[in-house]
Amino acid sequence: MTRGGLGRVIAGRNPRRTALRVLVLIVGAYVVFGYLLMPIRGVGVSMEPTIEEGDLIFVNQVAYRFRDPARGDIVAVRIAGRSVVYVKRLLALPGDTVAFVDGVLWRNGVPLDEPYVTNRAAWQLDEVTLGADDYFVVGDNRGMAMAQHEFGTATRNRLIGPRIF
Amino acid sequence: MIRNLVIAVAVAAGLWFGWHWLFPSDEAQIVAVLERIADGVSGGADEGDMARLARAASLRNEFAPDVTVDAGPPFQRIKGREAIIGAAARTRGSVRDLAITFPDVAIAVAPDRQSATAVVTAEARFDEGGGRGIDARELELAFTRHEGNWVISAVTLVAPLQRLP
Repeated sequence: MTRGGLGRVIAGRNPRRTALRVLVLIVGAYVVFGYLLMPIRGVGVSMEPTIEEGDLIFVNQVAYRFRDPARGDIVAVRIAGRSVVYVKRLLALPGDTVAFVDGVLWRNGVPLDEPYVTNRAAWQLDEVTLGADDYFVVGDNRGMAMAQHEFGTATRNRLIGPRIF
Repeated sequence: MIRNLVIAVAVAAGLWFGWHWLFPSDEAQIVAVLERIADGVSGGADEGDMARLARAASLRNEFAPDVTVDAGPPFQRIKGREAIIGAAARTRGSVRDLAITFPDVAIAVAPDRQSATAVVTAEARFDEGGGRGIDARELELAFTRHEGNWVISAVTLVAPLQRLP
């Protein structure tokens, strides 16, 4: 292919329009992935088997501007800065009580049916009532030792949004 | 006329930059402290022991003599400038290639301008021999004035998740 031919393939028949399309694509990607959808690559085992190491998920960063966090949401929890996050399952809201009895999570005095939990160690946690801004998050991998599993309460301002796919 | 206007704008800009260079704001001074700390802790794989120790020792002026570092359980609280410098030197000894940055910094200076707090994201990129890694944590730093200069008096690791009792 001649140099002019290659340039024509890259720039198209109307270079100005092609440049505009590229610009729109760049701006669109920046807005979508910077402010609407957060792509997250799974690292670690705490959400297995729902999210495996290396899985790519997308989090809706604007959802919680229009609705409250809901029990069962898989959420991204901000650790530091804009891009370092935990991904956990939100299982209890402010005012709820939570406890672990032999690995089974009890919420408001009722044992939860959690079909997504395939491994279950005998976690024990005395019943606790969550505070006004306490959102209880925990990973799906309950087969690991409780002390090695990062879970607990996060404040609302650390909840970035729910996973959408 | 236009020429005079351009000259006036250039002179005003020069005066503005000169003023801020000669008399940096409290926030700028605090950011400069963070940059010096990042420089003092970071270092390449080819750095010798003496250079590493000299780098760590250069941090002395950035911390108050009775500075405390609280990373939360299971880590022990570190107290004193010398202990921190020793810890920084040991860290550099165990990591071949370390780059520290502070990508997000939010500073609040007290009205009396004698103390300040900064919430920062500390990002570390390192090579432990088994491949490159990245970690990021949110830190709350307390600053005080010591002999006219801003120094760090306390470092607290902000835990994104609160463990239930």
